[in-house]
Amino acid sequence: MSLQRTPMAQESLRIFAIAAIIFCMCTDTCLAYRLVGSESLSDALVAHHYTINDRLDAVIVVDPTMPTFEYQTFYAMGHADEPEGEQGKLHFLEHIIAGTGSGSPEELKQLIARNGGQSHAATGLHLTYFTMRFPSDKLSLAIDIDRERYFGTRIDWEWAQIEKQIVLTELSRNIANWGERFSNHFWGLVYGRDNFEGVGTEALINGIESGDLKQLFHNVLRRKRRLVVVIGDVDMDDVLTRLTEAYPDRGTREKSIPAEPRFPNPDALGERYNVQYDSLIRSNLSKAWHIPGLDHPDHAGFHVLASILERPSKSLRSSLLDSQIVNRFSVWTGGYRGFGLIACEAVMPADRPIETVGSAVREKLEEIKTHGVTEDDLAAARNTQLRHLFCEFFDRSEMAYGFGEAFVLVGDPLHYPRMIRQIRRVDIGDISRIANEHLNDEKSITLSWTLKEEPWWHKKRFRDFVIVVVPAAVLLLTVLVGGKLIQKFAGKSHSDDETHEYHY
Amino acid sequence: MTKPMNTTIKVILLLIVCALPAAAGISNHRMYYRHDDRAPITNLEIVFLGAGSNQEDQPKTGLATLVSKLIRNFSKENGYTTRLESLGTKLEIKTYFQYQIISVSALSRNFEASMEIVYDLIRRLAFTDHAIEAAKKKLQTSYEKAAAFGSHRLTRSFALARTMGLSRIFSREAIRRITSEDIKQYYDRLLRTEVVFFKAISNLDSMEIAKSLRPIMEDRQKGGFVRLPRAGAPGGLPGHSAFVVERYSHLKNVYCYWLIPCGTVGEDDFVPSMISTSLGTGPVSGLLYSYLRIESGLVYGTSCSFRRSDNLRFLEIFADPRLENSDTLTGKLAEVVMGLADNPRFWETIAELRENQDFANADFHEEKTPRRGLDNEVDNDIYDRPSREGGIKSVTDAEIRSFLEKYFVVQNMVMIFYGPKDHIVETLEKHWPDITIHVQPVEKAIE
Repeated sequence: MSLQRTPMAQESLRIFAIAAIIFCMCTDTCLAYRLVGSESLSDALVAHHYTINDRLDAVIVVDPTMPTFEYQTFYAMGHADEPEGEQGKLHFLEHIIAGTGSGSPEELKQLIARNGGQSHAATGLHLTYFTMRFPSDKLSLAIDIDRERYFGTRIDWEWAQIEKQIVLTELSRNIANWGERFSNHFWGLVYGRDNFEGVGTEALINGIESGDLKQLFHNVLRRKRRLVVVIGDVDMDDVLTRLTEAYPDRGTREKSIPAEPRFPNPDALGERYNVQYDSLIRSNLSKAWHIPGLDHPDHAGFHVLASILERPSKSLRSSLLDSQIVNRFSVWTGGYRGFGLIACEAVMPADRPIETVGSAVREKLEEIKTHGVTEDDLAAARNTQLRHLFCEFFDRSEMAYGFGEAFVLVGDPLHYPRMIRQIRRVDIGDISRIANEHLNDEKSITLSWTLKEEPWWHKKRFRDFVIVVVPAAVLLLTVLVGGKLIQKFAGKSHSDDETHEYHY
Repeated sequence: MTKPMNTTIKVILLLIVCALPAAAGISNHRMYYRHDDRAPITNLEIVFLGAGSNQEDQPKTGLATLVSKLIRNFSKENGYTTRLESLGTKLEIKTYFQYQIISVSALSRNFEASMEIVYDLIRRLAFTDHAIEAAKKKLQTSYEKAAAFGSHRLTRSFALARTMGLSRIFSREAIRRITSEDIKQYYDRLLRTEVVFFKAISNLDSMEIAKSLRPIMEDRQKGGFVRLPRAGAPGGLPGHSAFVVERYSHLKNVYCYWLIPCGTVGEDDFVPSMISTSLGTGPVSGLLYSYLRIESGLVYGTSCSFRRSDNLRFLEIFADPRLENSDTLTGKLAEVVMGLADNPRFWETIAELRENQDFANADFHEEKTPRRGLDNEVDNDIYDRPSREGGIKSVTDAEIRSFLEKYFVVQNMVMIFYGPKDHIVETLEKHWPDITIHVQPVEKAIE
């Protein structure tokens, strides 16, 4: 079955949503859950944002395309929010919550698999999330598992010892991963940490104790704002009723306060960091600019700008790739707690000067600041961004993540689909304006990992010079001097001969 | 004087043709269509059946891929890419074993305009000798870059070529041998491929899509590529061999891939699918996850994927132990994989797969998406897979046991390892003194 929504139906939906909000605001007798807002994603999909109780929000998107549903739970805390020296505990706790709930890991795995489900969990910079997928008729099971994890997670120390081995294996993968290490260095600069590693250090993982995890779970994580996203072939009333039953109001949650616009490590802005290695196959460069966060009206403009710089043809990226200066080049834009970033990243052969990329980026940005962009550039970038966003609606998991990210960063999950409207509104003047306002060196962080600069007498060019020119010079000198000597001695010998002749 | 046929009638006739069942394979110009109005996007694939890499002669492998690169380059250099980008449209040309695909992903409102650009591109395509040389160089460079980044695909393809006699599809030398004449001949046959069909997923209705496809159907001549008959399975077992990839001594883990070749594409997939599901196709499921992660903490990731390369089917088992655990892991993994036929937990899982539809579907949520449904329908028509009455329930223990006895034997294991080579070689020799070990860099795969 497919839902075709006419403009009139959409209008009715909007009127209904507004009426419901007004009704709930004006009376104390409304249901435990409350509609906060609705946003149309496409002709077939509408997202509804509810508060279930003072501790929990929910986004529901009814999508009957497939007889399954996606269930994702987001906590507004990630490893970048952990204090210095504690980073890694949250990730370990995520493993415990996802693996056990109140039963054993094997029991939970079997329960999910026997009911046709899949599950996964991850910790990001500012969120921790747990995902499940089930056939349509398993909604109550998904909510039970989620509820068990929330209320009944127990720290089984025997199991935790095995889990330590697994997390150490994950860490050892990261340590040997060049890209991961570079990325951790970059985020360490952004957040002002000496040792940024979401998984934690080996010492920290080995030292984690049961009490640490209990404290983190009960006194920190469970007090954070939480969002459940359900997308799929479900009945909305059923989801709301079951969530309300599962999570009765307890009323002591911290209020949802949007993060203050603030860059976590202002000292790093305007700085260039270069690490030199004795031996290196590839150099890495990341140049990022501090820009407004996800909820700022200009944020969408940076997505469009990134798209312009990355066009497959006639762009900064295509020129660097076509001229084979870089192996890889990308431009990305991201929203974080209280700030945003736009960044150019390059991977290139270690023997190429990294400054080549820096200059190309600088020149392109200067051109945009001075002359703006063309209508064609803007249309291409806007259309590309829209296509990317719309394509996410085919992937429930990706869509759910979009709601979750918007919820933890700006407190409003429906900001995610609103980005479509914001992208459409970006006009040609916005691009040069935001570039001029924000893409300046004093708002940037530059990190590069390069090959150690050799002393001039070790440089290949110098060595070549020595190898080729010096022997040539010696040869020339030998010839010249030798010639003179030969002449001299030849003369002498001739006279000797003559003399000799003379003798004869 | 004959009256020109009305467009609507043409479209209706076309749809009637499209709707005809593919009784004898896929009919020319058939359109496979799925309606999906979750987003205003149209994804279209133009499939040139039979024009894939299976048409390449052995010393000149890479020809089909090279032509796809030439088309991309031509599009870029002649402004087609830019025009498509302005509409937000993504154009891709992809080479598979059985076919070549031109794929278009567009905002639905720009689909028709995008298709006009694509037709114009196809009509005007021409390759100069200079363009051919540039494309050859670019393709060779892309192999080199992939090797420098340690592409597992390259190593896997090489390992299967060495042990199973598959074509070397990433050879720089083979690219060098390709002549302008080879390319022109291939391209000429490509355009005149006997069966070209379409796969569309869109919020637009099928009539609108069909209307946009009309120019390619009207202009097209035939007489080019025809689908080759299905090739038989490579003879014999590959022998127990391991490929240890050099230059990964900095790793703190050993990345282990065990390949188990098991027949050719087009054979009944039920048995290998059931085995891979039991072992665990997904990241958090199956016996491997239970044995190697939950019970012993030896790995972070483990899986068993059912894959195909060229005409060959194979299972690929993955595990990533830390260095200090790799010896234990090797022993444990060998015990699990070689001992499946005598493992009661395996047979319990197989029984559950048969009896519990939910369990059987657990790893296949993606199969239900319109995209996967469409791909599966087309695959079934292309490979004409044998169907089974009763599906998974009809697979007997005896069939599975016989499959395990035939393929899950040490002479049928092709292993690939990334990590400190001395450590890996020592572990391998300890567990299997008779194994043939090849120590080589990834670059060897593209020679």
